[in-house]
Amino acid sequence: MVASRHSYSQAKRAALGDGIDLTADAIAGLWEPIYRRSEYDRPKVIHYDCPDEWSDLEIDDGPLHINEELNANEQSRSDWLAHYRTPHLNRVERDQDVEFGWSRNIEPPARSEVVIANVTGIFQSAKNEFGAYYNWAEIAQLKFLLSSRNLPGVTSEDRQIRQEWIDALSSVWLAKLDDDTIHVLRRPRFVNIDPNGELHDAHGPCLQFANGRHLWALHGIELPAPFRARKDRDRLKVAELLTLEDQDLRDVMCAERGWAEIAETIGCVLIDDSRDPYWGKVVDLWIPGGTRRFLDAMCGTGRRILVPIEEHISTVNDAQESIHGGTPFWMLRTAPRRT
Amino acid sequence: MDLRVPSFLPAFKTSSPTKKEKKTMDEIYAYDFKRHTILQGDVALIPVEQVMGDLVTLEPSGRDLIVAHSETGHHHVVEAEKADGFVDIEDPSRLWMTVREDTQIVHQREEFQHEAQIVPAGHYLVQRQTAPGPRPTVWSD
Repeated sequence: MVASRHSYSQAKRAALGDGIDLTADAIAGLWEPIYRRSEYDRPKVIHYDCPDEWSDLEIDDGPLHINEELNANEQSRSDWLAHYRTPHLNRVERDQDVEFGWSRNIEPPARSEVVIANVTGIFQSAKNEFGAYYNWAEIAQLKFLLSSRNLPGVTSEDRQIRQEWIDALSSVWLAKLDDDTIHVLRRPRFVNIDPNGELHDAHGPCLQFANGRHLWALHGIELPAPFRARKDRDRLKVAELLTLEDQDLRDVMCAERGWAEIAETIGCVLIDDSRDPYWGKVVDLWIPGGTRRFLDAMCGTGRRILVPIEEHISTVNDAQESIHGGTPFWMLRTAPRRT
Repeated sequence: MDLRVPSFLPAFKTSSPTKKEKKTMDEIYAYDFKRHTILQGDVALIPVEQVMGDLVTLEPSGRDLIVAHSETGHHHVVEAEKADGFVDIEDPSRLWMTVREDTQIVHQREEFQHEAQIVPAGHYLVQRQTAPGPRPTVWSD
């Protein structure tokens, strides 16, 4: 049983092989050769619900459906654009769960509400721009794209065509150019990602394509069928967790369970001790496949927390700096208490 | 078709800062010694003399300004009417906050709630805990 890692970007790129992400580059790349033509030809479009490459995913609602309605020669450009603006393509068919609202997919807001820079929780609005989901690099590229609308030298006609392309592509998740044909993949019904852009949902599928195909993943690690239900994962004993063959899968499941519970069960080796339970200790856990190093500290609520740190870190001060994004430890030490 | 990332776009960090980077961070942060750091759960509010970077304003969530999101909805928040949040476009993991008048940072959780703390007026860098990896992983409880 070997799990595979799917970061959001990797997932998108894997979906259509050498397909093109809907990044600013891609949009600009799609747009540029078109607007340079003397006539704005309407490309043929083939519409997919789910990528072939993921055909081994479970199917809930029937086989892969290839929608070729847009491939009809008689369809006008305006119809083509209108199709992509059809609201049903933007609708997300899953109830918003308030408790998990920040990471659950929600219905994209009207375009007028889109503020790309409002990146609360990193992805809060990034996933709304174009109705898709973006990582940090993509956000910056999109920002560049949007800000470049008013660059000198870009004529109003250029901007109009460019905007049409942006609008046209706003309802698709992926696009792939093939001479005069554009292969587009519909937006999935929902995608859940963690703050790092990894496909993730601890309580259900993290991704469902338009045709119902599902993917289960925990922080980017695909979950095999026996571990998809949270109750099944909770039922595993520590020894069973630690002996999982796939180490990536084991690590995310141990993190979900809490490394503190693992440490209490199998013990740990002390590397450095600050003698302040809230500042913590550096410890090693000897687990199958190698040693893992952690900062072992008390959180403000009195619970024991083990945070993974890099193997070369050997002091608590360095560990605290590391888990706080490189913030010098003396800045953290000025805190009178941690609650 | 050239799909490379334009060279004028900022490079994105993919690992923990090196020692050399740490040294420069001391200078970049311009720590404000008149106040102290606030640690609540996995969130650190670092007092700084000014906010900096290519910043955009963070939209409040109702009456709350969410300074740290939680997957389970247990956000760390301050009163939106007393503080402004800013995101650095070049590093969206870094949040800056300007507190106009003293407020509280509250953990929105009923069980294992991190005790609320007073946040004095001033500028702050909001730093979440991260775990190492190919890309830094935000660590939350």
